[in-house]
Amino acid sequence: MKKRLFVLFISLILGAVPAGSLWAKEEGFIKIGIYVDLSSSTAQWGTDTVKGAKLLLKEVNAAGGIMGRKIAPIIYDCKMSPTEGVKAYTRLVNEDRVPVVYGSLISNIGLAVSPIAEKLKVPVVARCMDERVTTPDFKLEDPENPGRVNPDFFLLQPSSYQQSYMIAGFAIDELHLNTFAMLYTPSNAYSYMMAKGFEYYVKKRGKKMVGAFDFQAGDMDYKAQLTKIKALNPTGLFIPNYVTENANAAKQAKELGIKSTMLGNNTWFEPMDKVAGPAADGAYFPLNISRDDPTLKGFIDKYKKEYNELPRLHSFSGWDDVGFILEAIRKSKSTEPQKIRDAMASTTQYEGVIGTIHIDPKTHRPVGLKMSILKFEGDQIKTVRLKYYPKDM
Amino acid sequence: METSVILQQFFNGISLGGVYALEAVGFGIVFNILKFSNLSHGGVVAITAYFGFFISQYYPNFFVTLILTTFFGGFVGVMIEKLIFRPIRLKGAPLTLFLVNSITAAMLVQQFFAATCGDEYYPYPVFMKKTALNIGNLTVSKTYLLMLVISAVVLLLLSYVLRRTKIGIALRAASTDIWTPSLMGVNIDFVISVAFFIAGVLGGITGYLLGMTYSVDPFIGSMALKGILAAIFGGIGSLGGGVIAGLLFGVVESFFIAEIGSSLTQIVIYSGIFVLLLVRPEGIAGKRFIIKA
Repeated sequence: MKKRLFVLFISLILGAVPAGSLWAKEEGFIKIGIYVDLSSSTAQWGTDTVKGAKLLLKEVNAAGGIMGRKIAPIIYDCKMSPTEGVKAYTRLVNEDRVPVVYGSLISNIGLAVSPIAEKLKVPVVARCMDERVTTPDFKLEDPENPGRVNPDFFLLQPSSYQQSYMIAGFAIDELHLNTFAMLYTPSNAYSYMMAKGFEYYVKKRGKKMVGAFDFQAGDMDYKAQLTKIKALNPTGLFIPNYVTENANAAKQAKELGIKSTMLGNNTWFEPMDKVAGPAADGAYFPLNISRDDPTLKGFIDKYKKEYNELPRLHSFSGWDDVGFILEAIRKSKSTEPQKIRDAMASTTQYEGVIGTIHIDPKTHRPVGLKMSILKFEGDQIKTVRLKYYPKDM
Repeated sequence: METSVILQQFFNGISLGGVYALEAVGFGIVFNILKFSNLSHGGVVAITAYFGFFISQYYPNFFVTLILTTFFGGFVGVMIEKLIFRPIRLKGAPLTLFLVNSITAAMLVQQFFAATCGDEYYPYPVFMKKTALNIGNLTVSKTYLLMLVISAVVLLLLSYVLRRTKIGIALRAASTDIWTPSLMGVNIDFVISVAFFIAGVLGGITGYLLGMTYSVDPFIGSMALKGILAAIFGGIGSLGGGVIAGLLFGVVESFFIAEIGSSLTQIVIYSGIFVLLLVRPEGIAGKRFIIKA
């Protein structure tokens, strides 16, 4: 009820307008709204995303654009804040009148923007992982029945539960671990959902969760929780948080002499090697890409030439996600939000750099995407499995 | 709970409490003289954490970088006083304005680093190859041990300065009444600068230890909030009370987090502070404590 009132209130204030009427007559550039985190502890992800997106737009515009029109991004910083995310989205829709929006990958922001997008009916594509962003009625204990879908929101990477299954499946079947503990942040929707997905899968596979410990956003010291975990002596320790938190947890776990195999989420990739250093040694984590994948070479070379640095995960995301949006504009031959949205919903196959995306119309999330499993050896990241897909996914 | 786990949690708590104690004293020393809550102390912690990182890139030696960062913290403290607080003090501004300025300064620092350094990560070099010592079943992290030892040394040194030196006596006199010492020839501007210098030094050490132990981000100064709470809990006006409260915070937090979880712990701790201050507004040490600056 409160959520509905909030959406109604925002819509009244911002003067929600019927989609379609405003955008149909727009000419000149095709505008794409982007809200990402450019100044917060997750700013590197936002910056990389924008770099990947701009690289694609540069190529597309050089080739003449779409329907004879060039593409212009309008970018706002949402500072890892759900409130700023909602402000940026409504500003893009109501003031900049963009027909489609590419959103921050922060799940908490996705959760805040999702009901507004459903009301304002301008589609959002994002890389959040929390299932509740596209399927608001998703139940933690019943992930097989996701409930109704938000027609105006699309996510383009394996969800929290799916990524948890990847690492839990690998730990159980390949590393033969059988008892687990975890350390997560309940106020971070991404971390929370990964923890719940991990727990669900471990129990489903008949293995044991010996402890689940949390900490508050902004906390940097987890020695109290880790001391307890050390006493429980699990074979695997799942740590699904953001980079700085993961690095602090890895350092403190090593200092306390914890012997459990550390298992991570996809934020264990760079710059984790720099931030955690050798403390991350021995940890396994899933990732959407591996630079050892020969199919990525073309993109890596192109990116390196443009920015004089190696692409990180979200450099790939920016390219692929904006590519998905452009594909929908091409397919719909329109700049009307609802036509673009319908084209997205019916995308059965989009060939991205990271992989082929098949959108499930029931969830608006991709299905069947494999992930690489990587491992820290010292402070070096090595690929141990290029394409992995767990049992009972 | 096993004895080794209890001992480990106690050590964890004491070492974290040492940092809270440093923050509490840094906050308390300014409060004692100017009678306002100097929330810009968190800003000093953030500035010095970044400074320590950049210095450590050129001098990857623990003691060199610690000393440089400590003195830089003192310098930042003095500059904050001169630029932000002295002008309004000389105009006789009300205390509310001091508080507003201190909040603004803290926010400014946070936003500055968020805008300029937010998209990068700043890990300190690894100063020690072996990071932990094993004493029986107890694993003692060298970093945490260092945090504890440095906090103890600095607080003892400060206690000596406040009790035995002329400037210490002047600081204590100013904390009782800021105007009377000036009638007796004490340069009160200098005394206030020294108070900010000491607070800055403590902020510098805190920033360095936090940056080295964890990693640096624009919001690292927010950890100083717990130190500020410790100062209030310990009894504003009593630096010793702040130290005890800081240590107590660390230990209680460690045990509670392990037993009832992090979310509930914060509720219990903040409710506890609330109740204590209702029952005993002067804090745990209050007027009876010896080291009163």
